Amino acid sequence: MVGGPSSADWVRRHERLLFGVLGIVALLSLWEVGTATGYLSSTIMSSPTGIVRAAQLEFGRGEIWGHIAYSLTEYAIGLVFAAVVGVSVGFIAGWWQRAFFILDPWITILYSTPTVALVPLLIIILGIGLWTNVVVVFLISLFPIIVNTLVGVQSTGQWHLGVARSFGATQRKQWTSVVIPGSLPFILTGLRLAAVHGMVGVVVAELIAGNRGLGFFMNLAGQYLQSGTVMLGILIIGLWGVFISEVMKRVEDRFEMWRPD
Amino acid sequence: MAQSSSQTQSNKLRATDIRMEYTRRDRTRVLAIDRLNLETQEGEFLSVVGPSGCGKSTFLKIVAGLVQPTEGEVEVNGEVVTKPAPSRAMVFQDPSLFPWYTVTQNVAYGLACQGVSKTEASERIGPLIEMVGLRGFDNHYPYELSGGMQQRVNLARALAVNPDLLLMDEPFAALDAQTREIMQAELLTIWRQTSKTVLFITHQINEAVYLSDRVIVMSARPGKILDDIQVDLPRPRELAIKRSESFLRYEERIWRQLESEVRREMEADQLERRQGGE
Repeated sequence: MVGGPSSADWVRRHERLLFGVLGIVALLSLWEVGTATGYLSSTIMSSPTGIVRAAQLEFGRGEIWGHIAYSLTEYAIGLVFAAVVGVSVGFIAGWWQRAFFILDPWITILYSTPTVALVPLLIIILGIGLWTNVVVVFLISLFPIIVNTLVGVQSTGQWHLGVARSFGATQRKQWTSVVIPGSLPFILTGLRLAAVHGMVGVVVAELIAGNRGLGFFMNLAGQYLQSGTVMLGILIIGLWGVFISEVMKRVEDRFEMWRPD
Repeated sequence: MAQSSSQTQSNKLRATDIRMEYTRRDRTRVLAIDRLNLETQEGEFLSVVGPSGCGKSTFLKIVAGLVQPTEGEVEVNGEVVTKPAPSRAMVFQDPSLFPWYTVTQNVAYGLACQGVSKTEASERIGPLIEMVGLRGFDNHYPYELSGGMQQRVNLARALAVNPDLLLMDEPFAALDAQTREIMQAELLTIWRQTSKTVLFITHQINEAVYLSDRVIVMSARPGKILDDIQVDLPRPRELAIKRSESFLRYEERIWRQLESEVRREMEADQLERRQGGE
């Protein structure tokens, strides 16, 4: 058996995890007890076990997989396009000052406009369906990528470029050895922000103008007052968000070994 | 006729009537360097001292080929400098290592630019990393090294391309006083082993006298040559030589000329700031 002092040590070492789990368990228990005793309305609030039941039901029927896949597809297509276009535009505007002067007002205006405000217009242009949602994801994640790439390229000091030139680095070598590695941390930050914004884009677009997908699924369940199912949707989206930001954090760590913490 | 023997006797570096003028943001023209003439011999360690803003760093950039002078030209080995070349390698001030590259990758940078293969590059830089005392740090990133170690990497990076002329732009300026002394001594050791011609820019009189065969004293802006001093201290030089009487005499002679220049520069600077504030 573990003795007294060493178990205290164990607690200290795992303090963070322990208290984190404790907080979650406490809140879930309160919630469950609250709805079971009738203090909270289980129709409106559902309950942890209610969510589990909803999950059993929905995954048992299997339709939910289609909605998840649909949302993921929109997300992936939108994000990949945003990454390609965003990094390219960011490099162009960061490198050529005149390009920056031309693009800067547009970037400022469009970055300040909530993309959601464009959804009615997109529905007029593209109708309700996959591509409207893809474009929402694309637009919402595009600007963090452009802006961060741009700042990254601009902040890659003339200093290091001077060093590269003094060693006779070709234009190409200047890019591969200075501009790209120097701006990579900024680009990754942009991509991480974009990945999170993109999720918002998927859900909001589907809530407004979806006929499939997780947002649509939640909307539908909401109309039938199935709060457990709505919460299940929230839970799936939440886990997805945690997963995405974990992955992006790993990627950033991998590419930023040279950076002091 | 123009064979290696006659070439070694010719001037390594010859700067003729260098004039450097540039336009500031407020459109005023500034004369940074005014008719500068300078020659060095093969294997010479030449320092340029002067008050800050006297154009000494600009002069070095002109020699490196990074900046074009308004008038005049620089010849190295009889060829006019128009652009950077590996035969003139530069050791920069403090934060000039590529932070995203390891020590090895930084030192190999110049070779990579010349298209030398990775295996050959690592063969060539191994002894250099050894020489600057950084063995075992090959795979460290610059942020993991102290300031002194970073400047050793900087030096090794310049030496790796096997230049004829080593251009050093206040490489120890950002180091603390003790580390700087040690680095100076080590630089001399390495210089003796490699026998490069060195053009060294500094604002530290002490550093210039200790390292150099010859010290050029530059005036405040516009930079002109005030004095050209042959330093006849015996080599190899220990750090203790800095306390010798002849050393102090050199220092004194240079400081006497610089003092008024520094004051002049400070007054000009104050005047400019006052006018700028209006």
